Amino acid sequence: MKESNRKIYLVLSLIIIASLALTGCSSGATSTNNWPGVNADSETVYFANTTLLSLRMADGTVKWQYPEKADAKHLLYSPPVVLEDKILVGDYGGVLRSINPNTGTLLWTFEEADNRYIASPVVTGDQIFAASMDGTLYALNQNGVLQWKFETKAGLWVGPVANGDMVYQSSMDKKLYALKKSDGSLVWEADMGAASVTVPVLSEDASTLYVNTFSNKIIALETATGKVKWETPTNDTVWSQPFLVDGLLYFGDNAGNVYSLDASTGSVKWTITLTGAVISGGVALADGLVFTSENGEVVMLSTDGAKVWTRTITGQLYSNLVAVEDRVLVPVMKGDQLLVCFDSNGNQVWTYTPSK
Amino acid sequence: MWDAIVIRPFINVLLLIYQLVGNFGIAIILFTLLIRLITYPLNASQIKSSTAMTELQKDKRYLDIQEKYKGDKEKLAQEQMKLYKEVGYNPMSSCLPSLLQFPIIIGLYQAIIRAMASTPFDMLNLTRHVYKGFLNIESLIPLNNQFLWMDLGQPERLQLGFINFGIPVLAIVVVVTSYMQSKLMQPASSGQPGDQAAMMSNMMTIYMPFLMGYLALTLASGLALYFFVSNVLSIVQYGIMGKLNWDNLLPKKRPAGPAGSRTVNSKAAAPKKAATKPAATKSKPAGSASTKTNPAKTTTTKAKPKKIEPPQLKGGSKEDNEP
Repeated sequence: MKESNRKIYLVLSLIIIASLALTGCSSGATSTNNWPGVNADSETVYFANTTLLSLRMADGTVKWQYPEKADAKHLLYSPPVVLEDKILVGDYGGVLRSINPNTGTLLWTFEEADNRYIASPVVTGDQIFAASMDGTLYALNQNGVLQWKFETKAGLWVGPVANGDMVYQSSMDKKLYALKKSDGSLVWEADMGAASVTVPVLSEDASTLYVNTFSNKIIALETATGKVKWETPTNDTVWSQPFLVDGLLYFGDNAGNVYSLDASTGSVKWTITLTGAVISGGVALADGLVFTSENGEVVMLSTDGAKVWTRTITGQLYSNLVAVEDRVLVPVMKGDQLLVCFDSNGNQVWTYTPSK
Repeated sequence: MWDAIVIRPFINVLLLIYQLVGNFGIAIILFTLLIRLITYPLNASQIKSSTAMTELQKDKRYLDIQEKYKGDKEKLAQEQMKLYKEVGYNPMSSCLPSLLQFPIIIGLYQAIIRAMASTPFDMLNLTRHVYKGFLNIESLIPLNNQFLWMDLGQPERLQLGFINFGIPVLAIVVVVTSYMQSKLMQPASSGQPGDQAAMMSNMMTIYMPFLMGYLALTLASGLALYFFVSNVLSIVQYGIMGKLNWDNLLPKKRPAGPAGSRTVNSKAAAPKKAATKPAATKSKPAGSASTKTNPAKTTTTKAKPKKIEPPQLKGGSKEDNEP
């Protein structure tokens, strides 16, 4: 080979390597990096991890996949909503999709959003609420037709919580909005002082909303007025979705602490520290509470904070857990298995591993 | 290790600038400028060194060695190294600053990507990269990714009311500035037929703008903004050092006559090489250093030999080194 040709090939190779390095470095710059979203009913598990998979709850085998191949512009990570006649899931291209739960075929799409859907849609009565990263909450009818929309000043990372004729939406603009379900008109707004990445939790009597914020505290607000009832500090940032059982709030923080709080006063009943950051939202089974830590630890705790059993999964655990009857589904990121199903005794029922 | 030494400090400085100016687009511009200022000495050293190399390649001794040992690569390399030693030129001196800058540029690039976190996973990682006590994360998040008409976390398209598709303005600007940068910074050809450096340089001039344009088209516009600012700052730096080669960019004047033509561009010089080469090799004192200013002079022994910077450092006269 001539010297000049060799140098030309060298330059071309360098250009190719440079382009690969640059595009490789930029994974994440175009929305390709997130943890999976899961939801389930007693028969089927819906697993969004670039595509949407329908898996049999009995054994974790695949029923269908939508779409057949992942579309880089329309990746699916947001946890789907499971209804009788449809599955609703938003994608990273700003499209909300309604999918036939039996066949995995597309029923309709809603394409008005200018940015991706990270939040799971919320369905209440005959309305669908879709919170988009474009900062807008869209209210649709069951056929995907827009009824109204409400714009906030920053992206919506989580969906709203609805009750009666009201819907409550927290935004990354550090505010919590109370809107009328009928027309989206603003009833009140409350400044939370920092952004929140968890869905507000409604108290059992619907009088109080509980919101975690990046300012390392959990705040209780009156649903009628938005006034703060109490605030309780946490040791670190809270990413873990709180849940309420028998008047007690449970959630974890970035430092690995799991908290149990009295929902009426905000006083801490107990805390326990796991071996890694608690990012996933936990779940309650009949026998106890299940939490995970980022480094693969799966723990069942009794309601007084004692460890019942501990299991370890290879991979990183960030997604909210899903409980169905006596089973808990644990989505995995960067592991050989992408989904692990445990029973309430900590026995592994099945795992989902993608075929290579 | 890489995260702790490079990425984390970069992210914190970038976010500190963002905290001060409140706009992520301006923060990217200022951050790129800051890094360029810090690496200015390295860049300047590299530019000087590569200019010295370009000049050396026009030296008669260098050309003679190429001619004499063109069939023996090993001997050629040995003789080249001897010549480098004689003139006091260190071939590593142009690539070492580049190697030192490379991790800084990659770090800058990665810091910008990570700071534009647009998924929960990326945001979680970003919060973990912020030094506690140095920045107030609760006031910083969410980052305002809006700059002019762009969402810096998304590929850029300018939507105009009267057309039904978005125009990738930033990608076009990146292609144009990349092309300008390559052309303006392209050294003058040595004037040798089949000048490999010139061939490679020409290839880079063609391919790099398209590569950068493709990346700007498909990646987040925050990165495209960084490419654009980086290109402009490179051109400015070369300009400050007086190394911009405008002849490469401006339209060539048609040769008015033997004395009025310019042969800076290797392609433009090509037809004349056949005529100039014999004269250059025969005329011992003339050398070939005058190709840049006036090729007509290389055809005559009346031309004064132009002194070249590297040989001036040490080493004897050209006649002494004649093989």
